[in-house]
Amino acid sequence: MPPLCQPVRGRVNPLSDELFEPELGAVFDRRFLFVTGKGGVGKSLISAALAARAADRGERTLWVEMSESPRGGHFFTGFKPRYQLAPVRDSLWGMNLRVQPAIEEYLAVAFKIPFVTRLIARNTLFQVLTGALPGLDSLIPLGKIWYELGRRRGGKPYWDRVVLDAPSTGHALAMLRFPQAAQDIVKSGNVADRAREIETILGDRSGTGLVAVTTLDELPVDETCELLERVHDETPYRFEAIVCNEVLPDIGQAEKPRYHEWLAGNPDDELDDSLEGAGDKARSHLAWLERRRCSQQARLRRLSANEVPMFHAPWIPAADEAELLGAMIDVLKDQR
Amino acid sequence: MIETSIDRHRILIVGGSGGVGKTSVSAALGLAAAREGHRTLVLTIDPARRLAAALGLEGIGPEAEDVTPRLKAGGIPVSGELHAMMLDVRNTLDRAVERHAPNAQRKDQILNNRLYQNIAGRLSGSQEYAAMQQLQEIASLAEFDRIILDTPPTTQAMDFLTAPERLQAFFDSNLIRIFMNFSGRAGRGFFRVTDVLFRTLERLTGAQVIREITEFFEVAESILEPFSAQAARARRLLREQQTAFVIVTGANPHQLEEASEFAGALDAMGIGVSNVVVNRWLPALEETAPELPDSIENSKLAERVRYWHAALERLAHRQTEAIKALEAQDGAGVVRVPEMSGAVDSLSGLGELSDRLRTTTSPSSTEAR
Repeated sequence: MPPLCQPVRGRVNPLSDELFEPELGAVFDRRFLFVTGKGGVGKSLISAALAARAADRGERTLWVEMSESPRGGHFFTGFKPRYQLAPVRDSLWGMNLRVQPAIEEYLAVAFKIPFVTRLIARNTLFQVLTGALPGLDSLIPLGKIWYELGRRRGGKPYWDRVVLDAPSTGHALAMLRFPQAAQDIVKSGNVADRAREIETILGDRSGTGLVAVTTLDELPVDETCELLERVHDETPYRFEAIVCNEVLPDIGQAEKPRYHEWLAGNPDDELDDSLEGAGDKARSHLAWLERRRCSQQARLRRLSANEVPMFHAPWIPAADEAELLGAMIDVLKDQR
Repeated sequence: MIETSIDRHRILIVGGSGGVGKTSVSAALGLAAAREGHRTLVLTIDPARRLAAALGLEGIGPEAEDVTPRLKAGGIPVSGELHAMMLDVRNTLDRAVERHAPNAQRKDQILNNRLYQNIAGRLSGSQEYAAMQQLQEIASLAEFDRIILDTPPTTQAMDFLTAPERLQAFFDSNLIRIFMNFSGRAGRGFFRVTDVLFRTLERLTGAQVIREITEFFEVAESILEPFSAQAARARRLLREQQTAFVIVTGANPHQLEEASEFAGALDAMGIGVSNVVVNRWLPALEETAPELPDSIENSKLAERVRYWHAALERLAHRQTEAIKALEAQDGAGVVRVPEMSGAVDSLSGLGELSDRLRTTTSPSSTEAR
């Protein structure tokens, strides 16, 4: 059996101990959360858990997906994600913010000419404009968010919290770059005005929190580091937190040497008994878990070089999405 | 089971949702084909650092690189050959423009158009279009007798199939004619539909952007026909007997459900699915899963070991149940690849994954060693 934990190569960030503190930073102080990450890392799960957690505390919360095949129905039994806002559970509303209906609504409101709206929406004109202005397809959905953030009721904001399950990293970067890029290309017109409004929202660090979700696998960590670097270099915005999803458990804890020796094949009556006769194969499952945990820890150090607060969302051994969400909400309960 | 697919099909397209290990499976499939004696090419679109690392390369370029000597040096001799190639989307589109442009002037006009430069590689569907085109170019040559295509890392598996059609719809639409009319500005009248449209667009984006789009379409029109013809040929290639899809999926129930839907959609389109590879499956050890305690007694190591063993077993059972359901309903050969193999970041890891794809699927033979 190969050694369980390889020594970590490379420079260890001196701040890393502090950054390893599992905390969400000031995420729950931000009214608008923009959650992105590579496909398949649990971005929807984390954003749904953040939204449900806020709602469970009594905050009037809106959770927004932007997907061709939304996951909301898997997470929340009985909920059907659509463009129209719909109640999900107490204090929580959800919608699936598709580009097409957002454009139709936007044009109908902005120009009050429904016929042209239909014409534009039906053919693929919008794709052309998007080609000319990369990110435009995100601007209009963001415009919808801007509208929801600005809604008021009885002198108070209509929503206490808006959580956006934003597109995956590449698309999210185009989205974040757009307000700047648009103003370079489009000097006048409604899009330019809208770009300025969106820029104000995204740039307001006291109101908006960008959150990157990643697993501690190689490619997602690479992609997250690249995203953070590029957002840092190419936009004025900053990330509030990195949520590391599926962080494996430290089973050994203070007794790590004993645990590792047992995993390596040394007998240990108490631990052998705990497997209730499942034997070597069960031990090899646990050894696999420990090996993966060790490679995760090495990548955690790489991520910590970004000097953004990192939250560790544990790996939850469940296969069902509603069950996963319930467990993840519990994890977030300890956060302020 | 995978050997049968390699035997029957010259082109295997590896599809599935993001983050399930498509690139690793593509490389392992390529290796399996090379071991069967075929001259094999793996065409990937991912940044694929891991694939490159697994093959002992710094990176993979847009030219096919023969990695057979590295395999031999790494202790994995193959009777055939394995070549790897990275898809360069922009370069593929540029070459298509060069090939299809009626003359050099048109070609330069397109390649230098600012809108084309923005669009190429970014427009929804262009990655997939380029992948299909490159596949077709390679397939039409006799250079390789097995081709494995690793599809772009979209979150949704279906995107790969609908993308070229979306791109073509973009070019086929009346839109272009509308823009052409606009550029002529002939017969402009207040009540004409196109004029209302353009006044709206100008209010949206200002006149400059509209002018650039119009210019783009003026030059692009000359190459639309050959472009569309090419896309149609590529779509036919997908339905040919020599081509089959290998779907890669994770082992959790919702992922398997998605894979099954994808297989159904391919079938409805007349595209063959030869295998569903269930990647990172956790094999169960016992007949029934142990009860998972509500919480972990944090104090004792033995309690924690007991808890996590139970948790792994329970997950394994859920996955196994879902896989059995898929096997029962699906005609395509389901191949289970156990989670235990670890990350594929070395030649030996790749060799192991390729072995696992080749061994048949009875649970007893693929359980963790």
